Amino acid sequence: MLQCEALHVFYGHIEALKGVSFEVREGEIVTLIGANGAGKSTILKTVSGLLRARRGSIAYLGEEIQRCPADEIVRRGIAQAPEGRRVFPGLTVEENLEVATASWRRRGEPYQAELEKVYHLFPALRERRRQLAWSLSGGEQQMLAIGRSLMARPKLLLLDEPSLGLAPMLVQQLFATIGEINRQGVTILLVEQNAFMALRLAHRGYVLENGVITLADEAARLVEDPKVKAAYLGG
Amino acid sequence: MLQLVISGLAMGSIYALVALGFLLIYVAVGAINFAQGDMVMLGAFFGVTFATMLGWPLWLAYFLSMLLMLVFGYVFERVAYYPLRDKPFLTVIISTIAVGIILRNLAIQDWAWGPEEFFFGTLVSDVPIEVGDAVILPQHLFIIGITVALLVAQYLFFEKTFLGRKLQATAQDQEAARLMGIKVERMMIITFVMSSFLAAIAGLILAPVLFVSTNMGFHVGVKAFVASIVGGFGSMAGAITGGLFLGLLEVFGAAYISSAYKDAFAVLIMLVVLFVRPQGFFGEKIQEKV
Ligand SMILES: Nc1ncnc2c1ncn2[C@@H]1O[C@H](COP(=O)(O)OP(=O)(O)OP(=O)(O)O)[C@@H](O)[C@H]1O
Ligand SMILES: [Mg+2]
Repeated sequence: MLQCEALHVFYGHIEALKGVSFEVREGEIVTLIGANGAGKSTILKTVSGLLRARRGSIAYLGEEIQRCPADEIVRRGIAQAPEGRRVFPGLTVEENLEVATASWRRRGEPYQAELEKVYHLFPALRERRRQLAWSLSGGEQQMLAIGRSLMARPKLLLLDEPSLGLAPMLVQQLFATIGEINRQGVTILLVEQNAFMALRLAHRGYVLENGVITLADEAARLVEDPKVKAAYLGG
Repeated sequence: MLQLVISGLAMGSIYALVALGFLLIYVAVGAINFAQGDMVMLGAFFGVTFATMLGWPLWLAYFLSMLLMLVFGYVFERVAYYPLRDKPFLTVIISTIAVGIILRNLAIQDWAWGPEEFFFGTLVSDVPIEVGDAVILPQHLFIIGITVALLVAQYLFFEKTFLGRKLQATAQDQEAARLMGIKVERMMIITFVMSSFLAAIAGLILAPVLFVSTNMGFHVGVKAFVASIVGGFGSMAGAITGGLFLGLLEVFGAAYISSAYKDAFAVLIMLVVLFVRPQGFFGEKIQEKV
């Protein structure tokens, strides 16, 4: 579904991605794990069209999307819940969800079905729907961030560290919901520092170090890999 | 007394409209558009050209002037903002200052409008209304009425329409807005066009009470900037209260103290506010913003 080939991405003179290749197949949950500053967010931003690769290609459903503007990429079915949640603080929960329909919805067109799906996945959001997003707790904001990206009707969902700053209980719940979203037919590329949780949920995984992919395998095998254990699973 | 209140509120309304123009762009791109005042002048001059010089009906002059200013807003965004959108906000500010200077210098050329002052007619009556011992200009009431109508319309637009909410989202977090599929470039154009439209209206309704000249916009711009700071930069309530407050202050100051110091009052008040309450009536602290 998504094939990235030899991506080189720069911030000024700094090369953040040094020839990254990976693929996500339809229906999968694929996880990208790596330490702080490895380049995980850079990959997602490049796929979403916020950054441009200097070299390399990104094929989505067989078409090159490197030159597409960000809104076109969303329209084609790739949505992202960015790192740090980035909900619109001054809009209510429901308004946050509404504006994320921008890629497909004409003025006045209903979006009730999408809204119901999100409220079904995250019932807490329904109770808070008239509340301004800044007033939500961290966990609720993360639900809103994911729910909001679902409003774009994605075929491929990019999640950037959804567990960041959440209590372990909430992380469990959230990952269960991510699995549920996947079973509803959404392919998922999950970026995580919480490698253990991510590898338990995912089908396949990639390990990223300093802008280079160093390991790629079935998630079940990565969990057992001694190098992964040492570096990311606390020995 | 009533007379002073009305004319103070009228001037204050103009400041509030221009301050609102500042606000729209400030919220969207994080930079202050210092050409906002000169855009007021441009709107008024377009009106003068059609109504006073060509003698066309006033409503047509209004309509054409607003139309031209919509186009101006678009061109302004494409030329003075879009190429600099990834640069630090100071670059954008300098670019708007340059646009303001260019507009003033072009307008004063002989082939343009020159240095004279122009008359511009009123859409309402120019016969003053007497209420008790007060004499009220219908144009002042017109200014206040139009301003109120615009404020209400703008509020409804931002709060009740899909486009309005997309604009809010873009202003709150541009990158997140991109990720949600919002066409951020288009939102920017709409923002600039809207603030240009506000400037056009401010110019057209102000023109009948002030005479139109190349410096009118600069003056109004400075006052509106002061009003924004007094009211609190970055908040709509601040732009409105700051504008009205300054308008009233000027008129009363001129009546009871001296009209020679009219402009000094504005600056004085700004300094007092900056010392005593840097965030203005409603806003966040300026230091934190800049
Ligand atoms: N805007 C930027 N300008 C310059 N360098 C940047 C910028 N953003 C990221 N970098 C650098 O690029 C590298 C990769 O950053 P990236 O944000 O992709 O890492 P990450 O794997 O997502 O890390 P984290 O787990 O902390 O989110 C880092 O070395 C970082 O310092
Ligand atoms: Mg990151």
